[in-house]
Amino acid sequence: MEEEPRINDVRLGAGGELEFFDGTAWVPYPDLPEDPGTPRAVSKGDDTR
Amino acid sequence: MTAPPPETDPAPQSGTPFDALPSPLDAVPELRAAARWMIGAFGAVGAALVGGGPLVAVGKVHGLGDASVAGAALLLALAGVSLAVWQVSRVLVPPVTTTATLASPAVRGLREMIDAAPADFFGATATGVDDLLRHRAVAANLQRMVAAETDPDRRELLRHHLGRAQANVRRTEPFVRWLLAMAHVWQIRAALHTARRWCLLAVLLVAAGAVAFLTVTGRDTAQAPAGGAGAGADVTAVVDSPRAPVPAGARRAVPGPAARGYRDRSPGRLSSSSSSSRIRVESSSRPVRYAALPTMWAATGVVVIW
Repeated sequence: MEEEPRINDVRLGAGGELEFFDGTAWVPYPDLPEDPGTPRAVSKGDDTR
Repeated sequence: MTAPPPETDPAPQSGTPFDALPSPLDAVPELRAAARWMIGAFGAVGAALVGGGPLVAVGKVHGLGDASVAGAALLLALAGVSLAVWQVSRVLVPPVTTTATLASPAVRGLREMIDAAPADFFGATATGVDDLLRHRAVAANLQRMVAAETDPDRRELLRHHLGRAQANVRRTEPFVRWLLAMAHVWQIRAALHTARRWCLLAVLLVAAGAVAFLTVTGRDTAQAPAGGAGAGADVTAVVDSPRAPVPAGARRAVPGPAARGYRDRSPGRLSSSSSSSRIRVESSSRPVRYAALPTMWAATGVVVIW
């Protein structure tokens, strides 16, 4: 008996692509867009004002 | 001659929505300062009760019954103070904030706010909190698959995908850090809001205790239950004596029972040593007057806390 997948489980698809389980179905794993920078206002020490 | 326009700073290099915003963590000192102020206010009330209550009660509490009521009232008021201080002090306890915290009910409001408009917070990076956090879990799962894979080709393919997942983790890391900072502040804010509601209850307890305490200790000695008289009246006696007739409808105030030589026999009534005098007493209850003070204080406290 096959075990129920859990959220964020991963597997290799038939074509070798990576898929993850999002809670309802297996979906292709994306590549996020490149971010030009980082948010500077995330820590107490950052001088953002 | 007009001054040249000031040079504007170059556009920020970062494309995230958090540029030029203060850190959420900057709100922590302000939240804790508010908590300290509330603790100080309730502490002052507690000190006044502990320090002043017994002094007020000295010589004014007669009998075991009154003493018990006064003691219970003082305890009730102090319980209110303790409740407020205990609840507000929870704001000063630093919460531990991890990604698991984002699933707790304490930050449900934050998640709902972000998930309602994820693009405002994460841009194209994620469609929600769960989507933002999934990449680390995916990378961890891939790491385990790589370690367990025996086929060299599949292992190499998994390594390639692991690199993709780790790149996504790096791209989402600033957003996760911002989210954790926001969740940290959100927890403290939620604790402060909860403490404010408890403070409302505490104010009511303190007011009830103070009213009961001042009611007992505000009675006149001669009118304490042990003396057989009633509930502490400031007496303004109006005499209508046949020996000293006054015009119809006119009433003459006298200083009080002591000055007139009256003896009180029953609550709210006075009699004269002269049997021919008929006396009507208008009394204003001193405990009621005292009770107005903590009631006003409680109302003010409720407004301030709200």
